[in-house]
Amino acid sequence: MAKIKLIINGNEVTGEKGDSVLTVCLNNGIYVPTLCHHERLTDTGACRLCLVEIEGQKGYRPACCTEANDGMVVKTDTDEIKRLRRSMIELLFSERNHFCMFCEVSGDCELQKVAYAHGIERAKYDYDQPRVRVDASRSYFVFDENRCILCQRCVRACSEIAGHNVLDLAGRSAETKIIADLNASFGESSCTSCGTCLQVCPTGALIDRKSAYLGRMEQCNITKSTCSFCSVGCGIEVVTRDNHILRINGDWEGPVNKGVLCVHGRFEPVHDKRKRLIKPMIKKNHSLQEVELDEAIDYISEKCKEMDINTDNAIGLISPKATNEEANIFVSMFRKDMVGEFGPYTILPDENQTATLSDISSSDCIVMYKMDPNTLVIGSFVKLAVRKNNTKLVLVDDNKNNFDTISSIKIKPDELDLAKEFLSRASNPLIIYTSGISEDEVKRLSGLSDKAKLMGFLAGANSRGLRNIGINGKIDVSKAKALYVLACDDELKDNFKRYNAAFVVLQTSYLTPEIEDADVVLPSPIWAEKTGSITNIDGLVQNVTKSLDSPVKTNEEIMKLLIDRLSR
Amino acid sequence: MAKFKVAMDWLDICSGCEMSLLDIDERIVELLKHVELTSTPITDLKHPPKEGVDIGILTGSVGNTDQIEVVKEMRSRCKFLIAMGDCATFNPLPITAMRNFFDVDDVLKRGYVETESTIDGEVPESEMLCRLLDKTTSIDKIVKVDYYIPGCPPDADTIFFVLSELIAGRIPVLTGKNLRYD
Repeated sequence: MAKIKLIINGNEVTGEKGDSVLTVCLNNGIYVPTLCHHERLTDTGACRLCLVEIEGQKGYRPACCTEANDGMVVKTDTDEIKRLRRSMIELLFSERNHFCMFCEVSGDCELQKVAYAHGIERAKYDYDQPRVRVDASRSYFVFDENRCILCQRCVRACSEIAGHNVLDLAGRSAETKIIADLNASFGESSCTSCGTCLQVCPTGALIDRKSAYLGRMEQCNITKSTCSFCSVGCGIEVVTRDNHILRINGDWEGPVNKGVLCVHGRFEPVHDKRKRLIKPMIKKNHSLQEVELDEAIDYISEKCKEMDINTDNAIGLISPKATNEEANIFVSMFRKDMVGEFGPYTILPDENQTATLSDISSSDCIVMYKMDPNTLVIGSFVKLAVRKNNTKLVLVDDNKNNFDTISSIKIKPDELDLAKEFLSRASNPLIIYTSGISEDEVKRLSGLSDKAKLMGFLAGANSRGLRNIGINGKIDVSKAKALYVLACDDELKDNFKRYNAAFVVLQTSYLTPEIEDADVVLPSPIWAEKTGSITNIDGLVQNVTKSLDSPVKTNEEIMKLLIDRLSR
Repeated sequence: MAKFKVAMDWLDICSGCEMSLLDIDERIVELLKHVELTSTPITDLKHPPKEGVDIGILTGSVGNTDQIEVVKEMRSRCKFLIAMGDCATFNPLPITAMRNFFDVDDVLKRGYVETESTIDGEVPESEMLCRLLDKTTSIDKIVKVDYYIPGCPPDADTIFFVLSELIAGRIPVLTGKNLRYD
């Protein structure tokens, strides 16, 4: 990048060609107030707070939307600019109903911060007091138009980085409002509740239901970690206070997601209502009874002797929510071919055909086979590819699909050959499928094109890590005499079966009806109580960091106790 | 040295600002060595003295015709008028001006007739009574205000700081934790 020199407030500063005046100012530590600017979003000059004076140019220019040129002479702090900015803030306050005293974000609000910075101690202009809507039709967050300053960060985040394109503006001037779709209520709109808009909102216009009024950011701890929902491996920031999770934010520095999350990663873990399992249980007289950990481990050991359970007849199933460290200890208890993945299994393509997540944005034709990742971050990636890069989307599905409207063509699975023409015309074709499809189908997909890359989307956060350790999903569980399921905080419904095993040990975080099927139940920490690493679909190993104190021993500790006892 | 005379009065308000003033705690003893509180809503004398005071402090927003008189009286009897609290500085506030979203007749009907606990209610009407204004408004729409202390309520520290500075003959500048809207 070519360097450029500017004179800002009489001092010579440097920037790079292509930088905006605002970028140059911020990079050189020169204060310019902003509200609509966000470093991940395209600048639009909506709030007008960053007005600067540029020599030789008429009037005042928004620094965010003005390209910096070599030799530019800029002033950011004249009395007139300060007066204009102050008026701008006072006008923002007067337009809607901004009342800090009971606003959820008071103390963390960017509008409040700029007003403080400009010494505004009263409302100069009468408040308009419009009667506007509060839309609480979404489960996890509320839109309060009273606090909206129309900076449009949410609109840009929705289309530019989350890819969902749900939000837009309607109306003119002071009557302008943020709408979803064609002015549907948020709950009924095509909004996926990914919460990216919530994360970028500078005021209290978007409020998280769970963390509302539970504390300001300065009272909270932030722990960087990795989401344990799916194999994309999104970077998250867990906001906690007094050992409670308040909310989860996307980590702007997350190498894969760069700030974006989905409803399953941002909201669902925080709203988990399942009751925790704290004490181990063993089945006595057909019902589970709480015991101490030592007793449970003794019981397992006795049963192993009594029933002649050994590595030839015991099978282990491990949830892809387990960390690599947990998985390594787990596999050491079993014969190598007797450990399988717990949950939906995805057949992976040949290694030389395997695509990575970055292939989604560089592909010019994507075939999506029998899947609808509308609410997932990988869905965001596909939507962005289609909307930003004009990537052709060939949708193969029998059912109604959320990607119907943005696909170039929708075909039925038995007409798969129709996709060949699209693939042959593309230079970087990509085929995505997920769990629940047969080996034959994967073969047909890989035979569609010579140059296409394939992505078998893995459901579990650490599915890839488990495969790397040598855990195979395809084992015959039905013949196991004993079954040890390390379910962690995974969903047991639909996943957990007793098969024909005579003895079942289940290690799980929650008290759910399914535990009744086990002979011994051991506790497990939840995702936020673990430290370790998980491996995403691309093989990227990322850290999981503990953000809460755990009421139970770690899975590693419990497994080690068991191994010790069994080897005695 | 003669003491600074300070008079206070309240308008449409929750009295949180007055509580905050009392939160000055034992510092009020030191303050009273320099200040004479001639009249406040929470002491016996309600009206500022005719001979005038140095500092007048008004809290709340103006909601009826009587309060207009209160504001005018305070202005005419003080040298330096302070509007204190968000109701006085950020008017209209929903707490005191929630009714601005409605027609004044509807507000009165709701309050005196339609309330769930009211039987055979009627809106009181008498020449003796003041009238509600169509919209609540701020003090500075009626008289000139010299100084503003925002906050809901302003911190006791902020009130103490402002009074101490004024006693010392300086116009205080609110920054940092003294400048708050919540």
